[in-house]
Amino acid sequence: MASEEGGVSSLAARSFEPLDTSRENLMRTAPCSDRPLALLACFLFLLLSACGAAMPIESREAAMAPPSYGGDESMSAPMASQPMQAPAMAAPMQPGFAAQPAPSPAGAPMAAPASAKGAPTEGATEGPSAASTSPARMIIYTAALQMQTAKGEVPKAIDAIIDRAEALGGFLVNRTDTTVEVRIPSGKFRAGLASFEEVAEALHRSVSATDVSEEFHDLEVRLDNLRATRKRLQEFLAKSATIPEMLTVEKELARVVGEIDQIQGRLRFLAQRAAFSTVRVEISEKPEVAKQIASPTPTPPPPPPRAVSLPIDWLPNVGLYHLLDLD
Amino acid sequence: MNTSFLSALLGSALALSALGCGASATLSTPDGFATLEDQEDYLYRATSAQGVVLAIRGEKNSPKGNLDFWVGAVDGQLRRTGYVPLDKAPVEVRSAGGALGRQMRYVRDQQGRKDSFLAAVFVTESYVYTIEAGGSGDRFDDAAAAKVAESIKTFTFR
Repeated sequence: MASEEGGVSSLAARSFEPLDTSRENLMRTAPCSDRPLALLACFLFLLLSACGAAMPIESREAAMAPPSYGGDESMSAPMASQPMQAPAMAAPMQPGFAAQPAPSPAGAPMAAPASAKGAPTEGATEGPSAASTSPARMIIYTAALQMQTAKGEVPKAIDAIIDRAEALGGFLVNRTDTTVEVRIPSGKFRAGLASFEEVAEALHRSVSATDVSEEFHDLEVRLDNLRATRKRLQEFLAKSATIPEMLTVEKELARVVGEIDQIQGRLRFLAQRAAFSTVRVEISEKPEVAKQIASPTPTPPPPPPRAVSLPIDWLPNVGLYHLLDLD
Repeated sequence: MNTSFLSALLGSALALSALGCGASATLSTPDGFATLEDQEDYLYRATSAQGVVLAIRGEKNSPKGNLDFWVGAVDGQLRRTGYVPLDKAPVEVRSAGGALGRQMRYVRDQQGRKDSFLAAVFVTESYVYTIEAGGSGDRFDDAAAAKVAESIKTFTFR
């Protein structure tokens, strides 16, 4: 990532230039660099502290006394200082997470992504649930709709849903003959659902909400720690006296940078999913009512003719029974 | 004339009347059939060795009805007891004397065994004559039916 001020190779290249002159200055000022042994001890300490993500950030900051962030971290400062301003994380769509304080007065997490892009915060009072309007919340909303429309109207209904999603600032994710998946700004989630339900008859709807606030916060803390570690490693790299020392530090630096990239990717993903809610719509045709061919009350077959026994005593004797009785 | 003579004369006259006015009918016994004697319910009955039986029944025309009535009465009785007509309508037949009669053919399924039956009806002012023929379906075949038909043409009654 460009904002992560270069990779390991650029750092290594830089570390080779003025090592001879700057190292002495650094040795003088750096508290841990009196001896190589002390350097190694400090390095190990930093390694341990980098893995302590669960440690409160305040105590770690106090222990590590990190220097102020340099200007090369375009995404770090606001996010680290306001880790729970989840709405502001909608900005990951833009380079660098240059988040501003969420302008939404209600702090609606779903409205915040839009606010980060300068869009009006109309979702402040609209979000899927009033309880989720806490600024400390980052919630991913997903909805599924089952709808029914007249025969032959399914493609038209799907087009209408896509149009409405785009009108809300959303976009198409997936489409088949009978389904469509769109993403709409979370601040307009409820309005979007209501709008979609105008297209066809809604048979079933379901909405799920996943709270990723805790995961997001943890990732931010880990990111802070890793950045601090990276900073220190860069310093150590600059102070390294021997090639083995440099290689060791660079190896660790590469690992830390990779982890930073990984966490930033995950943070972007979560922020994006929270900023845009996913709505999946399945549309089917209304079944045709079978035309009734038979009359509703079919006339019953005529009853058999009434059997009348004539008052003729010999008549029952006509037939094979008596005829064949030869005894 | 004394009364005893008159009584004897009247009795003789009634006896003669009874004999002379009773149902009487006959036909030629088909080839291969044997005439059975001493029949109570039939005026005539003959049987083949295979069990095909031909008979004549003579009953009073009471209640008095014409040919249509008696054909309908016999047909209705047979249908009610499981006989299925083979013809859509009764077939006209003639006696030896040219009298009009009607003939009907039926089959009946008795627990998987198919029987055939034929009935011909002739009516006079006083009597109803039925010619009945029947037997097991495989015995009362076309050849036997043809013999019976020929015999019906020789039917004479009073």
